[in-house]
Amino acid sequence: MKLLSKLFIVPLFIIFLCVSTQLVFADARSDYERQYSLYRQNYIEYSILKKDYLANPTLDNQQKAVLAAKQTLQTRDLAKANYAAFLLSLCQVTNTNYAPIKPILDSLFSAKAFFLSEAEKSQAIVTPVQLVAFTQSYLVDVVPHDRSFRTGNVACKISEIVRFQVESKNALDIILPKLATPFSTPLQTRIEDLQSQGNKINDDINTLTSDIISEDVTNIDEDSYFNEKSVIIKKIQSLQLKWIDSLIDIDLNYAHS
Amino acid sequence: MPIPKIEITNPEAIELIRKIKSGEIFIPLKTWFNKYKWIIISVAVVFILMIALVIGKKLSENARTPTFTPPEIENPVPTTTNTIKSDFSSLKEEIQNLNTDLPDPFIPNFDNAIDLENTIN
Repeated sequence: MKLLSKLFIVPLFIIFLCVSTQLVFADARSDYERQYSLYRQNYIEYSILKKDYLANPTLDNQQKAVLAAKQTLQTRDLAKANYAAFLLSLCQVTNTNYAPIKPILDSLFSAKAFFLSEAEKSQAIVTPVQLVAFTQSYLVDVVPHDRSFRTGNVACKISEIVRFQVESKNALDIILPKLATPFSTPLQTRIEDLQSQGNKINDDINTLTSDIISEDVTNIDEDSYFNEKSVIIKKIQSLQLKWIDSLIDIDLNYAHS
Repeated sequence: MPIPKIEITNPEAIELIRKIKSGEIFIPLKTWFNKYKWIIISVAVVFILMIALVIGKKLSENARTPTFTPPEIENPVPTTTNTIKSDFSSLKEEIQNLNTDLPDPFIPNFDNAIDLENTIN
């Protein structure tokens, strides 16, 4: 009876873990999407009221425009905070604990905290002068946090390719004891090749990570930044595919025989 | 034994025999036949054709041409190759399915300069 109950509990626990991971991921995404759509609605309203106020600057129109601006500021910064949370959830779902990426995750945490704080701060605005002062200060402070979205986006891809590296290394560790010893010379060469190619991929990933942390992106256009990184990630992906093909070949021809 | 001669004395019978002998009795029949001659002929032709069809069908059923069916060919048996799949094929698929396009997710566009001073384009 005890054994039976254990047999039921263990799969149930595993299913619960899988479902809960998916739920956390889905929550971060849907929170961000909901908040962003709220921002879009508020922004349209603010644009109309601002136009009205500039065309007819009465006190009533001013009040309405300031209120709409406040709401837009709040939803904008909450949407940004949720976007940072969404990126964090994407980076962390891989559970790789890849240390070099930590500064980027920290910058995302910092961005999230900044935007949450700005969303709260903006609610103290009462006059157009306060609104201008808030926006001027915001335009200066927001730069590094907005940039963290770029690096965070690349970091999510890095954490995925790091997970592939970890799993590939585990796969090699599983195969090695299955091979007949002593290794034949061709097999020994292939294993050494795999190890050196794996190290090269690791180096490429480390270089990409250190580059995105250290490079100055002030004057780099967003499109060209992402295109450049995408090419590097594609190159690493093709190396990983070549590596896993080689491993599968060893698995089928040596470990299964 | 001589056959006794029968003498008909009944005047009605004598009259009838006279009519038969002279052919007078068949005159209404001939008139009726002449009147419906083509109808009778057409019905007769149709009837003969139908009988011919029935007879033809019966004959064809009895003398069925033998059908030649080709000898059965054995179904080709697919050659079963014992394919061994590696445990790490799923990892390969995961690597292949990685979307390398950036930004992913797309970075939304936000207006950082919200105030009541600038004109909105």
